[in-house]
Amino acid sequence: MGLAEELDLIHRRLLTGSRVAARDLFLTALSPLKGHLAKTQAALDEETRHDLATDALLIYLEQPVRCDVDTSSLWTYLCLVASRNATDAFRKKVRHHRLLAESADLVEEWSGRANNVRRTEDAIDARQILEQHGERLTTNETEARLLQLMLEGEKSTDAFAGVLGLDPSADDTVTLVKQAKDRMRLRLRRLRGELEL
Amino acid sequence: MANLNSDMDDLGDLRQVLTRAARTDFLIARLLQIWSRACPTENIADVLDCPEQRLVDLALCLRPRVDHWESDISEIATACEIESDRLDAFLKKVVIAERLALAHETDADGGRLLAARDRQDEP
Repeated sequence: MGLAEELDLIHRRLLTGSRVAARDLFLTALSPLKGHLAKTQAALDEETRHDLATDALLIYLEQPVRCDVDTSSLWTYLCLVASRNATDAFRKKVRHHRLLAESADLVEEWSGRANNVRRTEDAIDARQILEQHGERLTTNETEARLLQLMLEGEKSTDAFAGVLGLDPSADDTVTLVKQAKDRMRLRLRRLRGELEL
Repeated sequence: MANLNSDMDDLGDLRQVLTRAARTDFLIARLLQIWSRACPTENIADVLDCPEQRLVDLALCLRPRVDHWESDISEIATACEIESDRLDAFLKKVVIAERLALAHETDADGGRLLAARDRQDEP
């Protein structure tokens, strides 16, 4: 019996209520489906292909009635689902890499600047960095405002103290502002490292 | 029909599948995950008195239906080479725990399994 016929039998067992047919589907279809993706979606890595094949089976198992084996085989149905999801995954990956490449230049440029020099002539677009990476760099509104000041090249300790809710005249304000800025610089360096990978 | 005694390559592939399978609510994988998180010190293979590899088979079966419970348990138990009464009792406990958790809108992996473990009635 060929693969397509075997899978159609499993499909019919599922429709009649078999609980074990799901396991038989995994045993029968997972490897061939991964092989199909390896041939048709060679740009995707093996782990991604494995996940796509798994997801195709799970999508089918959620509603087996969607597959009409009188029209086309279950094998064809599974290949279509897996290929469609593979195309989506590939587009998502390309979009992700393009976004990272675009923002990497910005973060690299900012990270290379001297800490206490304001260079308005080549000011970094702080808003763009905040929009693209704000969620990873900051956890609350105060940190977001601190980051924005840093990206804009602010030098005044009083300005940072105001954002942080500190008394500018207190003895430890300079230390606390420095600690907050150092923490943010560390996050920026980590982000730059990730973007360079 | 697929061979129950999968070779080791297939078994390795299927183990990778289980994490994703446990995210669905229609496979037994989800119930095994609930048990494992609620009772981390209890080995499911010991509870069911079966080899570890049978658990992969079990996890990939569809959950037994309430209105066909006995026949579904019988089918699964036979295919996975697990004693039917043990499987029946085990799945009833986990299903009850899952329902209790859902009824109280809490994490299904929480501690309510301990209370459900002593119940033997129909889920």
